[in-house]
Amino acid sequence: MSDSSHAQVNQPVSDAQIEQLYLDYGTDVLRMSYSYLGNRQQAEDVTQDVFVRLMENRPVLKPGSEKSWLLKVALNRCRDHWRSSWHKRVLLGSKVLEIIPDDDQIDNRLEKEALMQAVNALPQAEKEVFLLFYYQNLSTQETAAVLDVPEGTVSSRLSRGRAKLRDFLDGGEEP
Amino acid sequence: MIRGDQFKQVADEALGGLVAGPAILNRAKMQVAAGGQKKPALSLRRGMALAMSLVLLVSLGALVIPQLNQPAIPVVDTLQSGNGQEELFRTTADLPRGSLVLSSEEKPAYKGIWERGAGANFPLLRVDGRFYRMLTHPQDVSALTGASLGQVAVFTDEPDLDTGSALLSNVAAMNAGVYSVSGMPAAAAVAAEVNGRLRLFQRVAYAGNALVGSESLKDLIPRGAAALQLSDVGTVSDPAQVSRLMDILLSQSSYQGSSSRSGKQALLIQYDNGVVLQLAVSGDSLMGSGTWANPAFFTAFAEAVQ
Repeated sequence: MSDSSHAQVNQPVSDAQIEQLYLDYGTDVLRMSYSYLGNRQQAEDVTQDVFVRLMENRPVLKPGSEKSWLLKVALNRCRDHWRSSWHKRVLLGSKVLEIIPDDDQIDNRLEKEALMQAVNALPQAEKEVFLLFYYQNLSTQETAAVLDVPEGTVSSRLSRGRAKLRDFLDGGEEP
Repeated sequence: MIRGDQFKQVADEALGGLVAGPAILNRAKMQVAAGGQKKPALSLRRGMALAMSLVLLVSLGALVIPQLNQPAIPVVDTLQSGNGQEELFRTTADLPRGSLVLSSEEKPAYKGIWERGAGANFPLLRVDGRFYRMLTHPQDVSALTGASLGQVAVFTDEPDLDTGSALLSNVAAMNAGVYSVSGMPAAAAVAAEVNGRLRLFQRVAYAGNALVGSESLKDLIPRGAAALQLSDVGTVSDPAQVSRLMDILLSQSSYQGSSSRSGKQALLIQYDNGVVLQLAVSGDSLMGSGTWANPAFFTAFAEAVQ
């Protein structure tokens, strides 16, 4: 996966390492959370929570596992938000996940927005593997470890997710 | 046409303006410095909703508190008379608090007794590498307290990220006592202090951890059940039938693996000391600590309730 310059073997993560982890992976955590929840404020809350837990718990992270740890904690917090009554009442049913490009001249804007919307609309289990495998570039083994499911389950969810996206992007109904 | 496997490139471009700036990390630091208090980032609408909830709570409290102030019923500690032998007959009053679970309906509706978690994980304990899930019933098993198994040494919201072997929980507080349950092997169930009550925890699979060593279903579900209830099918309480069904359950279940899934039915196994254990049921499989296939059990159960 990622570079392994953050964690020292058998040492709780230090303040300096937390700063570096935030620089390296904070945006990954924020964007994955946003892709999951479709709400910027909640994605920022999740990112904040992840680093609060890192500072409070000071885990011993295996070198190379830092990003997985951060994404796993983020995913759990996203699930909490997703299940919350607030999220169900206020966010579901409204248009979610508007794209936030850094350049207004983004090519194929409508197609790309459609893809983002389609991934956001995937069933929860398929969306999670899609975000970890395709977006965060985790291997199937790493994705399986983050989600606590067998690798075969990751593959089958990816396959189902791809089929649903294909149908949707070809003009079908939402996945 | 954009394809799904171009998602990373598309997402990086589409979300290029979404960057984790220093403000989020600073808020996290302030939250930690303030002792873990929630960040001051509640939106106006959420704040309003919270305020209205508090007003409602205070109003309800004003109605309820006067009743609580009425003189309490005096509590008298009692001791068992006689020579201390096990009583011959157990009555409802002898059972642990909140024991009664089984429905009297002919075809009982689904009733699960695994406690749900507030977060992403269910409320659990890890003792000697075995995972246990808190049950909703009984609500207090103080009357069945067995030997001490230790105290919670690790309290964490992310149990699967802890690779140690210390006694761990995400619901029982640090230093909370953990005990065996009288009449139950520790491989099947344990008890722990949670919010002032001694709650029952049943052995389950968690994060790929199911059986330890040469364990089988016989180690996880003790014999000697008093009644069995399978949702949507019925309840069996005839001792001979229960004994026969338990034999089939424990001798003919075939282990399918450590993964578990939720089921649409539940098998509740009640013991005469008030303890009730649960196995989730999906098709011909039972899920507890791992998944177990046993078509013969379901055939026999359907025959027993006819």
